[in-house]
Amino acid sequence: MDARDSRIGLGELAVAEPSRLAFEGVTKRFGDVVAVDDLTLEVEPGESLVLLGPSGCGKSTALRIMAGLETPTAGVVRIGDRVVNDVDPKDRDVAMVFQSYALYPHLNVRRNIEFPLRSRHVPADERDRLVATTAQSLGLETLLDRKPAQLSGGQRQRVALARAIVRHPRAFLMDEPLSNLDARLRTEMRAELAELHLRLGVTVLYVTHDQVEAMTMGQRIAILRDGALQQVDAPRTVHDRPANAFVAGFIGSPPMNILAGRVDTTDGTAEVVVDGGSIPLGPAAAAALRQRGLPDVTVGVRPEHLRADPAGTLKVTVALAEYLGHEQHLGCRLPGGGLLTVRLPGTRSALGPGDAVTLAVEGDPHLFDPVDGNRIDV
Amino acid sequence: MGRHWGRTGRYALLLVAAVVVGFPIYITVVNSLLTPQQIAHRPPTLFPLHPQWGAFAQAFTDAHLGLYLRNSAVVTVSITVAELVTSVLAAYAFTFVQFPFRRVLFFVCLATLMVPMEATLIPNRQTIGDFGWYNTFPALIVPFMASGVGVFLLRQAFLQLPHDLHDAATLDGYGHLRFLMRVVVPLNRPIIGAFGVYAFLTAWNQYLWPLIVTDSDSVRTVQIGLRQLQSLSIDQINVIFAGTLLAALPIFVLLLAFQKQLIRGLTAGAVKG
Repeated sequence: MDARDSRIGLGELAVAEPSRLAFEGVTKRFGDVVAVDDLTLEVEPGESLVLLGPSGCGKSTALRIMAGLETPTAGVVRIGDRVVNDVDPKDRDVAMVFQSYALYPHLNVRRNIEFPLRSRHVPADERDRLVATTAQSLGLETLLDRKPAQLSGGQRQRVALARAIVRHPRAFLMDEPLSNLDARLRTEMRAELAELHLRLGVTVLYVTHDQVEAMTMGQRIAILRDGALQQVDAPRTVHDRPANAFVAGFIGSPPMNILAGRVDTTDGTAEVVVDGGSIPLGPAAAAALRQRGLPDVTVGVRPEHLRADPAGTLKVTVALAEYLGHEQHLGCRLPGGGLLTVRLPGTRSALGPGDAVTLAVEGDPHLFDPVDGNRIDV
Repeated sequence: MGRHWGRTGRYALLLVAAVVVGFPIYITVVNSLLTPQQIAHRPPTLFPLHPQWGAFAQAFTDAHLGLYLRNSAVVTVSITVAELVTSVLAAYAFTFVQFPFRRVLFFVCLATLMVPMEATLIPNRQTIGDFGWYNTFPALIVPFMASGVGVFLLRQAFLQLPHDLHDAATLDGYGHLRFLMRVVVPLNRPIIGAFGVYAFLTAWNQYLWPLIVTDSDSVRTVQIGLRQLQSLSIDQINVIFAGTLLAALPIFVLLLAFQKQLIRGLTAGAVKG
């Protein structure tokens, strides 16, 4: 049995009114380390917001602060209209799903699901009814007497979800819930989770380091770096208009090429001179740079915006070719030693390691301030 | 071929070890079933053809073994239960509860393992005297109600539990005591069981301490009772053998029943020590 055997059908599940979640100037220090740095962020009622960032960026700490498992050093945490800084985790009415699933290994599926109900002294018949409904909606009804060790990864994850759903919380906190699954199962569970959110309409705060997961699971994505919020926006906006060079490099697969360049506006046209050649700029981009008066600039070019073209402006040598079936990635060496990733769609190209290629850039590149890394809007 | 000889050699070695360990026990059993005259006879009798069971009854009537066994049971069961309770609670606190000086206190706890019992014998005897506990059960029980070994052993086991379980239980509304009883203890039953057996064996086999805090038969334990047996006259030597067997019987039973758990507990200790 695996996750494909059943789909989530949550028609019968009643759910509590979803709550707004808010961090207001929240900081968390562990000794000298600032894990979360002055975070201000709101999750709207019923919204699915993803906290995304590399490991150690403070996203899990932020989630644990919302759950009440960590106390903020400064700032205010709200669930609904209530300030919950001093409220016990059990009284916050939020459910958490863990990367490790955190199922109780000695209890069978039924006992695992009803665990939170027992602590709340829900009467036995009501408990049985809730467990039955939840188990049925997650396709677990035939597994109720099994122990977690007898379940597959996907099934365990659904038991963990059932344990969260059964108490009808006002919000779900998910800490990398899919990271322990293999790639195929992860894709399937991602779809199930998205469907679950759609049906239940609950507020979800979801933590992941996987940008693909973030793009598919989040109505909005909040990107953290070293505990500080970099950008909060819809997935499309984060991808198309990254707020700074860090976000640009983090979102997208393969990641965006980031190059240091010198602005050249001598002969009427504008271009950025980089290692291996130059990248031409449109009039709007040229105007924006001219207005700023910056001599240097950081340019970002997505791998899919590069193509091999004899009339191109960048001269590189192919160092590595990865064939993925539906597309091909080329790692191209710049004369100065840097690597440029090119993503070629469709059938296999004839290019291979050692070939000299000229690349053309489609459209305007992303421009970032070389000092603070912030986006230069065009 | 080499593997075959290796195995043969191993079994030969085990056989020798089994004889070395088993023979004295066998002789004790044989002698308990002989009359004193038969025991004194040379060459010795190795197979009692007409076993005499009277020595076992005599151990109870002449040597008060029943009383000693009862005292040992009271003391050992009390110590085992108390040690389990205190060790589980302390190990839990050192694993899951944040409090000031946690590390320091844990090392203090460990440090008690490095003090030999003999070094504290006199001051402890003094304290018992000051409490007016001489010749009472509390004198035999109270000093052993907590154990550094237990705290250490169980803490190492509890540390293996994923911390997410504690977080999940916290969010599910379980406080420390309920998390301990519903999750930590059930999941650590093997190691807690092993430690229980270890505590029982240690308590049952105590000799020096009971000897110096008691002199009345009403509270003395079976190990001291055995010593008293030796003061019986030589014409009752079969009773000494029978008494020794009876005193060791609970340990035999326990070892057979909990063999696996004990070995697991001992190896866990070995790896960590």
